[in-house]
Amino acid sequence: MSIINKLGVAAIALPVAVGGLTLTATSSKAASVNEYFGIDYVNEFVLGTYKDDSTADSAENNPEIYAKGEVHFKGQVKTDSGLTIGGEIEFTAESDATNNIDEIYAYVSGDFGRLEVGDQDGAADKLDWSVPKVGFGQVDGDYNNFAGNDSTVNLGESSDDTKITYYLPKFGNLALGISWAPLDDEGSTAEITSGEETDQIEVGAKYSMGDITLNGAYYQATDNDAGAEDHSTWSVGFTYSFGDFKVGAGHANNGASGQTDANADVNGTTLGATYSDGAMAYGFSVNQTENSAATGQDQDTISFGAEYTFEPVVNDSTPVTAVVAADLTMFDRAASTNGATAGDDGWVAILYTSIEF
Amino acid sequence: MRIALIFGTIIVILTGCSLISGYGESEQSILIDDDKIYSKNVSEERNSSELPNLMILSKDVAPTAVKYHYFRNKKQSQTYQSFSGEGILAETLNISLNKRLLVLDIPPFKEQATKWLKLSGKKIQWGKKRFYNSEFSPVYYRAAKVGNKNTMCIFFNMPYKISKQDHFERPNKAIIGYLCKKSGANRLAAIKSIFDSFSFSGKPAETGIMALIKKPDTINKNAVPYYSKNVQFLKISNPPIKGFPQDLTEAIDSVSPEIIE
Repeated sequence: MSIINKLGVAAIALPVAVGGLTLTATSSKAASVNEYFGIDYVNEFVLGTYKDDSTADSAENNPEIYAKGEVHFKGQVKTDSGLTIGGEIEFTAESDATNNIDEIYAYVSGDFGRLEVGDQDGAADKLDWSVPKVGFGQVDGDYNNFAGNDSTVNLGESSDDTKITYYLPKFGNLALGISWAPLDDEGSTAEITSGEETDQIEVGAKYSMGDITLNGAYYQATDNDAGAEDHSTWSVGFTYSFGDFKVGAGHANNGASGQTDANADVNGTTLGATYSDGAMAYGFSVNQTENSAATGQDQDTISFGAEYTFEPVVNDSTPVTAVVAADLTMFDRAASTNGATAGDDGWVAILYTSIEF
Repeated sequence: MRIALIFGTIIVILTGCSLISGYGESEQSILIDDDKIYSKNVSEERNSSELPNLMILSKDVAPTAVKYHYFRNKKQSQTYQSFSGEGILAETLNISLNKRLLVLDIPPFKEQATKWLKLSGKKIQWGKKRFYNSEFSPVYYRAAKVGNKNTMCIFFNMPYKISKQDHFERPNKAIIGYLCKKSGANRLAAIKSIFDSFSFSGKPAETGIMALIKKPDTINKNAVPYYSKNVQFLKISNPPIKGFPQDLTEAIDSVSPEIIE
C-alpha cells in the first residue's frame, strides 16, 4: 500500500472515530480563545465640528462628540478535512441604541466556497468597489452625521437584511458571490409589512490582476410601495496600487429605485487616493452625487484625511490596534430639484479614534 | 505478445536498477540541498541575533542546516528558510504584512507547489487536504508523493494571525511551505507531531488577545538549545522561489467606521 493510500485510510478512519467532526482546540493550548470561540471588541469616538449655510450660527463650530461600539461573539470549528463552520453575533454597545443586535449569521466554508445564512451584508456589499480611504473614511465616512448629505459612493443594496449568500470558490483571480433576501427585514420577523421590498437579489464580483483590482456589483428588488419603482442598482470601480500609493475610481447608479418618479436618477462618481508611510497614512477623495428626484439635491464633496495606527507589541504579539485620525470634508450642495430646499455649502472637521482587540 | 513481454521485463529490470527514471530525477535530488544552484554568495551566520526564529525539531525532523533570506519593505516582510538534514528537506516562507487593511490571499496547494524551484518539474501525486490545530499554529496541509520515489512531502500553510478586518477571515501573517522526508513520519499522528514541533524559538505563533494577559507558553523547550548547538545557519542572497518576494496581498475595506450599519 502506498504512502498516500495509507494516509487516505487514516483520513477516513480518524473523523469517523470521533463522530465526523473534531473540535480542534483544547483549553490547555497557549493559543487564544479565538481558536474556537472568540470575542472581538471595537469602539469608536468621533469628535466633530462643522459649519454650513443651513444651520443657525449659534449651533455651529461647537464640538460634538459621539461614541459607537460593538462586541462580536464568534464561534468557529474546523474539521480535520478543512471544513470551517462558524457563526457570529454582533452586539451594538451604544447606550442609546434600542436594537442591540447588528449582525447575526452562520457560515460554512470549504473547497465548495462559502455559504452564509443570517443577518449580514450580502455579496454586493462585500465584493463591491471601495474608495481608497484612511481613518474616518473621507467622502465615504459618516461626515453627514454633522452636516451635509451622504455621498453616493456605493450602490444601494440589502444591507443586513436576513439572507442567504453563496460565495463561489475563487476561480483564478475572480471572486463571485450571490445573495438572496426575500424580505427587506432583519431579525425574527417573517411577515411582509406594507410596502417593504421583496425578492432582493445581489451579485458581486471582484477580479484582481496584480496591482489592479476591478469590482462590480448589482442589486435588484421588488418595491411594494404604491407607485414606487422597483430597485435596480449597480456599481463598478477599479483600484490601482503602486508602492505606498493607492488610487481608485468608481461609479454607483441607484437609478430611480424606490422613487415614484421613473425619471429620477441617483448616481455618484468617486475618485480617491491614499498614501501610507509607516504608521501614518493620508487620504484624499472627491465625490459628485447627482440626485434628480423631486426632493433630491446634487452635491459635490471633497475630503482630506490622515490616520495614525498604533499596534503595540505585547508579549511578542500585537493584539490591539488603535487608530487616531482626522478628516476635513467640504461640500457644495445644490438646491433640491423641486426648489423647496435651498442650496447649502459647508465643511465638517472630524477627530476620530478607534480601538480594537 | 512475446515482444511485449520481453520489453516489459527489460523496463522492470532497468527501473529497479534506477537506470530509467520517468521524471529524470532521483530521490536525492529532492532531499539534498544544492548550494551550487541556489545559494550563491552564501555567508555563514552563527550566534547572531539576526537569525530567523522559525524552528522545526521533532524526533522525525532534526535539521542540521538552515539557509535563510530576509525581504522587507513597507508593506510586508518575508523570511525564507530551508531546513535540511539527514533525509529531510523543508522550505518555508513566513509572510507578515505591515498594514492593517491588507490580507494574504494564500493560493491553493497545487499553485503553491509550483513556486518552489527545488520541486520544479517533478510530478506530484496529491493526497487529501487536511486541517490540524497544532500547538504552534492552525495548519492546513496536504500530503503528496513527489517524484517517482517514495519521498513523502507535506505541503502546508499556517495562517497564524487572522485579520479582524476581513470578512473572509484571511490572515495577515502566515507561513507557507513544505516538508519532505525520506522515510517514516507517514502516519497522521506523526505528521501532526511534526507540526506541533514548529516554534518561533520555542514559542507558539502569535495568538491574539490572550497575549494581553499571559505570556505564551514554551511549546518546544529543546528547540533553542538544539539549534544553537547543532544547526548551521547560512544566509543566502537568492532564495529558490519563483517570483520572490511573493505578492499574495489583497487590500480590504475597513470594518470601521461602518460597523454599525
